[in-house]
Amino acid sequence: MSNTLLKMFTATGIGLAMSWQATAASIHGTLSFDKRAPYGALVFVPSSSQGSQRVEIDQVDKTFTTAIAVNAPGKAVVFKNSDNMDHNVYANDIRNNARFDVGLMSPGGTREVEASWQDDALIRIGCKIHPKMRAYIANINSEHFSVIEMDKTEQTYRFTLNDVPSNTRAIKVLIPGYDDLELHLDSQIAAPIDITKKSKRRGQITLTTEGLK
Amino acid sequence: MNAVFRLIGTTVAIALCLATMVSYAGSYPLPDATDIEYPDDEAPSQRQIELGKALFFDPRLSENNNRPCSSCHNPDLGFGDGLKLSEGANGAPLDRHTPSLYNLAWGSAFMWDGRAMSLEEQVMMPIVAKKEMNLQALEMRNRLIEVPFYRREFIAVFGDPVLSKDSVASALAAYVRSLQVTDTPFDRYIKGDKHALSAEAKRGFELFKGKANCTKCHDGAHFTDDSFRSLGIDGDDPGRGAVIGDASLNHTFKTPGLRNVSLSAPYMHDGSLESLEAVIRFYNEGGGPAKHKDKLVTKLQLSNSEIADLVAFLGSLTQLEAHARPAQP
Repeated sequence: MSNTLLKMFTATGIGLAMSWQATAASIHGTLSFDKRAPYGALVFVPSSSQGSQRVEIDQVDKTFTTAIAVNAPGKAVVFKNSDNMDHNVYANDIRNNARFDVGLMSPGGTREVEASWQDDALIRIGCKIHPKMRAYIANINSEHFSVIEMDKTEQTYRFTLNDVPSNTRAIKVLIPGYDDLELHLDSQIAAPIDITKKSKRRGQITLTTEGLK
Repeated sequence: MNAVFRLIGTTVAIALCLATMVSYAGSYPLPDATDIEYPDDEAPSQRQIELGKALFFDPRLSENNNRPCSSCHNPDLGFGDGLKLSEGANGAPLDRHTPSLYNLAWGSAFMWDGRAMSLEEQVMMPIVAKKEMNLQALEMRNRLIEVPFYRREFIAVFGDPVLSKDSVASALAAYVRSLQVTDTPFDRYIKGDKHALSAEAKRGFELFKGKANCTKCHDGAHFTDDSFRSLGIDGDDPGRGAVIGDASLNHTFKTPGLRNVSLSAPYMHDGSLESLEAVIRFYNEGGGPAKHKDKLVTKLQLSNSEIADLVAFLGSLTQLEAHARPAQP
């Protein structure tokens, strides 16, 4: 698959605070879907350290400017409205305890919401006025993650997590509407692993690693 | 030598013609089947659509065996019913005007107040609503399972011998998703046929995007952003506000798509405007008088001629086709 067809960007944290660890390891993966690919995916190495990402999501042309935003638990998420019409931002994810509503946001407006919902959850946000608008916010502690944006034309996507600690034992994969995945690198890495939606197989993920101890 | 000149002339003429066509192509988004988000990430089979069609026209889905979905969503009336307000099961008028069903495959919220988040959810609502078809799920299943055609088709399509409510919803939703308007004079015009629209409709299209401000809400391939707006129409219907518990959206209703809109008069959530001309004159006057009116709705200063041009443009969004009613199984 051509690199130009990959809708992937990696936002890997530097992890300077963890410089005592060997950071020469890399994790490479391929996500393949049997049918149409989902909205996107987040792949990350869970960490026990408090993350530092702070998210700002704007609204322009009836669209959220970020498809999947990665926020550190407890940090404030900033919402802006740079559109020329009123908007709203809300979440109503009872399972992950993510319920907020910033009310009506006029053009130029800004609101902040503390990300106090469940860790390692990917919650959907929307606009009550424009139900077609959607984006996702992940609340995770991680210095090493990759957001993979997907589209309707491709079913296979690749990602790389570089400079991960060489003692990394697991990664997590969050996909909107799909079952969460936690992959243990020691035991599961040899064979493809099913990606499921409501427990039904929807694709597979394959992993390779370099430099893990 | 003359032959060479003729060849050059012909080539230039073809090139100019192609250039003209290309200049129209892609200047406005058109419906794209690959944008449809199916519940199972895959389009339904034709057999599933046909099963849904049989259910859609079957009066067994109403308490008194006399009100199929098609009694309000009549294909001969743009999948509306031509009435200001439909007559409910008890003879009293329903609270809102029957909406058309075209191009809901691309929709994101359904019903005038957006209370259904999927077509599967939406299609069951009128069936069980006491004021509408008033048939509860168990009775529906008991009736359908008596029909050999349904027993056979539910097994073939869903592997479902019990005819579950979810399977009925899935079949009906598949049929509604198949009601697509994608080949209108406007589509042909955008694809390059500059003769597909009249001069009035072309002027109307420019007004639609410009002076008349329509695309603030009626934008995109289906001429709607699915947004919820108040046009200042008087009444105590809370609309979207009641669904989401937000008073700031009281009296707002979903912006309908406009493909085949000329077939489904009257208009507005309360059916209060009887023609497209009346609708445009309503907007031209700055909408209704109610205080909750959206600030996007302002006086337009359109001339009578411009109003006629806009009506002509809306007419160009029409795709006439016969919808044969299936025999009742």
